[in-house]
Amino acid sequence: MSTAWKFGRSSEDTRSAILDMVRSSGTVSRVELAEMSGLTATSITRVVKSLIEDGLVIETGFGDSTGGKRPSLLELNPRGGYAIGLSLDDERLTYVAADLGGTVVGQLVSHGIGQEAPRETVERIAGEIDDLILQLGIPREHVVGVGIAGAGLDLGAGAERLSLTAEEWESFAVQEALESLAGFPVLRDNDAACAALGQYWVGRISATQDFATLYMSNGFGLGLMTGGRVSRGTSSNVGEIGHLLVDVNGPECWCGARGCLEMLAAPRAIVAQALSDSSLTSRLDLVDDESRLRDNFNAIARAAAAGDVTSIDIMEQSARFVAAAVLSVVNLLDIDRIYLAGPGFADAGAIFVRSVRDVVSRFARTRAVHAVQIELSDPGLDAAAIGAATLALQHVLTPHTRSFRQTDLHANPVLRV
Amino acid sequence: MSSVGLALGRSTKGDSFVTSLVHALAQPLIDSGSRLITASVNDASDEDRIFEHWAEVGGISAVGLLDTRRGDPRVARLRSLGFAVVAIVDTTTPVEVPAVVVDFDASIAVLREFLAARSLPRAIYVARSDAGDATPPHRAAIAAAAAENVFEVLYVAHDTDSAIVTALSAVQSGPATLIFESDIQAAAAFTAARARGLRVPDDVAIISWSSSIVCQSTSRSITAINRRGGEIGTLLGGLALGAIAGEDPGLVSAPEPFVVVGETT
Repeated sequence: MSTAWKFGRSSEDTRSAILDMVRSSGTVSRVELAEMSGLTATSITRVVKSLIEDGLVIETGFGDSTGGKRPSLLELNPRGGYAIGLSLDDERLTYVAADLGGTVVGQLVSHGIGQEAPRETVERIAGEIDDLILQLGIPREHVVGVGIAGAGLDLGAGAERLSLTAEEWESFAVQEALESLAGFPVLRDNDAACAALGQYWVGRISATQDFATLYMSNGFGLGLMTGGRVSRGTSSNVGEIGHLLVDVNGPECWCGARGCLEMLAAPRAIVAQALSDSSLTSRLDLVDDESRLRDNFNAIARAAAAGDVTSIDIMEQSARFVAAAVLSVVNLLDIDRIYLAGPGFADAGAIFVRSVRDVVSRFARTRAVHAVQIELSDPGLDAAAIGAATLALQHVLTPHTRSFRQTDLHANPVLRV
Repeated sequence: MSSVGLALGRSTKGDSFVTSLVHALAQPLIDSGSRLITASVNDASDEDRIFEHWAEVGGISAVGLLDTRRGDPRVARLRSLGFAVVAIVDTTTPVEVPAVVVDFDASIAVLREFLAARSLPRAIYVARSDAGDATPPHRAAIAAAAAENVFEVLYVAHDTDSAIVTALSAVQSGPATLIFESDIQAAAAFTAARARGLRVPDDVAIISWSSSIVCQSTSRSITAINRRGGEIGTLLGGLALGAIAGEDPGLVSAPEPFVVVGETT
């Protein structure tokens, strides 16, 4: 699925679209920008001049001559500003500082939300953002904004279910609270949407290439990029793929339904199955303790990668459910590219890639029309945090691609460069 | 609150060994109420500047070194700045700080065992002629393995295209296993081999020295060596906590690497 470029009417949209072309091209000449955009050389010269004056674009050398003067090449000025991305999680908070190109220049990792009260956590976050930019030597005025990736559901009115274990978060407006404490504009989205945005930005994907990112951490989420924008849905909750029913007779889910993908294929399900095998439990030193969920899952994934037959069987069973869910996504959306992202795919990603590719290539309704690429995501383990940083970057650099969450419409932050 | 600092060279970006190491290193720290802070650096002088900056602004108690060399001047420098130091070293590098010891020969051993169980008659280790990111101990281990006929060594240019041409021309005389230092080159070799009509793994088998997302994502997953970055990171985190507490936990051995069997062998 792809979307043709259509410029908006305002000069801001034009400037924003040209900047996005520079981003996705890596390096590009003014002539190439004119060809890509359909704008006149004079218009391109004017727009590029303003981008250079604002420190967003730099000239980096010269391209090959096609008969006349060698064209100067342009690219994003990576030191033109920085964004902070934060992945909020029960177990750990991961902050990354990214330059304008989306390259990570540093990170801070601290303990997660756990049972901490929201106000206490947000105060800690504000302090840790200060610590990160201090340790990296980034002047505060160069920080354009903060993006937050949470695991949960947007509940409206600024509240978000960010933690499965701490219910106080359900009535807490994290974005507003952090903005006032940190002194930076704050944007937020779910981790899957952020992972998709990070892939788009870091992978230099063109705005005409639509794709989806399946994110696996403790659960699943699906981020959908269309026309260079994150798709949101009526209540900004698009992509709750963890609650896609893949077995109507399956186990009861905490959401109230039966046979949700999360109950059958997420790390908790994988670990539960492994723990039911005493031989495997002993061999991998698994511990029946919820707080060891990720350690247990990582041990099973590593064993599967190393060829342990029982571990492979367990991972493949999960992968078959994931493949069924992805097949439904492909059939519903007619999409031709899907990335698998997040810590759940770190060690045994190949098993999931293989299974999803197999099912999609054999059963996608459109298989005779186009292929579907299934890839592991570039940003890797910190995809959500990197994506959260790009949430702020995209909002600043390419405002024509902004797509607001419902709550953002009431409190749309104006970010600065 | 104590923090552990890590300066990461730009060349480590996308290196899955380092990525999983850093991710896992954070866990023992956050479990004990500490934090991990990393900074990306371009070169040695950039790295020294960030160490000096950390000393100036405070907040970091210990610094980890991932690629410690023999007589590494950074150890004394970091100590003079007041940091506890922990490191990752290879078995041939003496070090006076708590360290996780990685044995390159163990990687060679698992590779040797894996190759012995395969039917292809030749194995060729494809190495960059300019050494690239390979450390001297890594190179020494490769040379020793070649001397023991575990594989032949073929030196190629840094440029991926010419490296692949050279590597694939080496298998014209008959089936062989190609072992690439770079996962990118391994993936490119897989694509190029199929484009030339070679059957993978019957005509040419492909192994990457380092397991990565690239290896897992190619249309046939590439067999690779997993050097246990995650577990090494966890060990390093534990050493850092000990060093901050004023203990000298000494040296600990990294777990043995293993072969991730893909579809290219």
